[in-house]
Amino acid sequence: MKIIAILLLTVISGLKISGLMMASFMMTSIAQAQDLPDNSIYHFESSWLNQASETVVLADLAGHIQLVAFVYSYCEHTCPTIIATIKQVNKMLSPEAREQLRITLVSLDPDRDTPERLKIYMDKQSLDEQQWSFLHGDADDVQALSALFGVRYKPMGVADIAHSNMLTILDQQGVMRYQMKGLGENLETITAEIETLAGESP
Amino acid sequence: MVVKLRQKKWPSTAPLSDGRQMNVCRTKWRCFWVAAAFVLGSQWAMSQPPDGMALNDKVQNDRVLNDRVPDDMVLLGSGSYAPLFIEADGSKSVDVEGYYLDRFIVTNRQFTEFTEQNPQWQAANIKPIFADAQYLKLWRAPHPANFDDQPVTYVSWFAARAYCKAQGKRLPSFNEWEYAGSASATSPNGSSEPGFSQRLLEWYSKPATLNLPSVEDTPKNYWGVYGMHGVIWELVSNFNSNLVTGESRADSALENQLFCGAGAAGSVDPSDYAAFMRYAMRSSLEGDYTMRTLGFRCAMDIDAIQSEDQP
Repeated sequence: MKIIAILLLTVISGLKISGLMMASFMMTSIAQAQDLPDNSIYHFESSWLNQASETVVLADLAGHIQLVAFVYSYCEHTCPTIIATIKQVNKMLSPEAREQLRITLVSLDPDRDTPERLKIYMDKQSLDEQQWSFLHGDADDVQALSALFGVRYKPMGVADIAHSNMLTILDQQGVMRYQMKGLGENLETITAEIETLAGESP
Repeated sequence: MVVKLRQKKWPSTAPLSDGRQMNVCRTKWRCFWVAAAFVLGSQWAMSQPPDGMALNDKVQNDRVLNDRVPDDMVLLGSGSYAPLFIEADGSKSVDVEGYYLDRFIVTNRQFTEFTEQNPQWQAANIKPIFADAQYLKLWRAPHPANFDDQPVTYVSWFAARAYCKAQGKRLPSFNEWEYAGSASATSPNGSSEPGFSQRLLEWYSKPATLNLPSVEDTPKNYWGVYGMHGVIWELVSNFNSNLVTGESRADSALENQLFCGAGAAGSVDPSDYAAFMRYAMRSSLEGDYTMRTLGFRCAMDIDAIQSEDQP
């Protein structure tokens, strides 16, 4: 009987502690969101997991210039090209701008792209976790976030997802500053946008 | 002596088939647990469907589900419809699981109640990423007499999504809406009826009137859903999955650059102009767009109600 009581107390106190932690986490996020401009993407309330299975809210991305792309790890067509294009953009930047840039990839395939799978993919692609991260969310949040970015996608059969090839630059507060639509664009423009934003930072 | 009396009061043995006696419960508490297990076991057994019961019988299943359907919704049984474009696997038919759909389009009155309870969705407070400057524009203009019962329009996809979530519902998917919309007044598949497509096109070709009808004064289809055609355009959950390719247009090279995997899509029925119009409209939408003739209704999974029944 004593053992059962101790176990119960442990579970209840554990729940309370995790509840308090979650409440304080949410409060921090709400406070962060309140400081953002009205047209910041980070006002979209949603919860994500990164490749390390850590919980991320969009307001956590504030403070850095973000290059955002929507991809999925099983994609064999243009997704590798998108990654290669981003790597090239990154290479073209000045060290100061590169220091301020973070690259966020949103998975369009929440069923198959588990955080573990995304971690393996990142390792395979040699993506530095200091600068690159993946977001894994539920299908409803992926749909809404893609709508915020104007990204269109559609499952094609069981394995493929047709999707917009688009790179988006968000400023340090999550305001959309530039979108490169299609992969045939000159990369000078997108790098210039990132350099400008890096120059604006205090 | 006391022990003997207790043993008589609580039967301790049960006869086995070979005539021997099996010890069931030697003590009062052991008997209690055996009895409790028996009662719980029989209750569980009674809750299971008997062998041979036609659980998969669609009619029987639909009848059960119909008893649970909320008053403001109707049940659409599982089925299929012919999409405008051939599917990726070459199929000319799309299967749709049964689901619940709002009987009527969401009205100005209903949306007002929602914004009163959720002030962040009021025109004065909404973040510009969720709706353009025209959001709920008609609420600021003089109202016609039936305004409260008219479809709410100038409402964005984000706002519609939030409204449905607040009701414990969701927006219908593209396929769910098209499936419901393919029904005529008398059949779940109106396309087989002569003149059905033409009637839809006539509705669609009428200019959008300033004064929309009350949602209850709109045509009712086979499923008991009102105003699927000829009233407003309706938002769907995956509006941004409409990838219309430029296979016959001069910008097809651009489209190939824009989309990964957007293969050529042939039309199943090139004469279905009404569907072309719906697809074209959805292709032009963004999440924050609002329009004079763009509104919505909500849907719900059948599981959502079944799970409410669970203790």
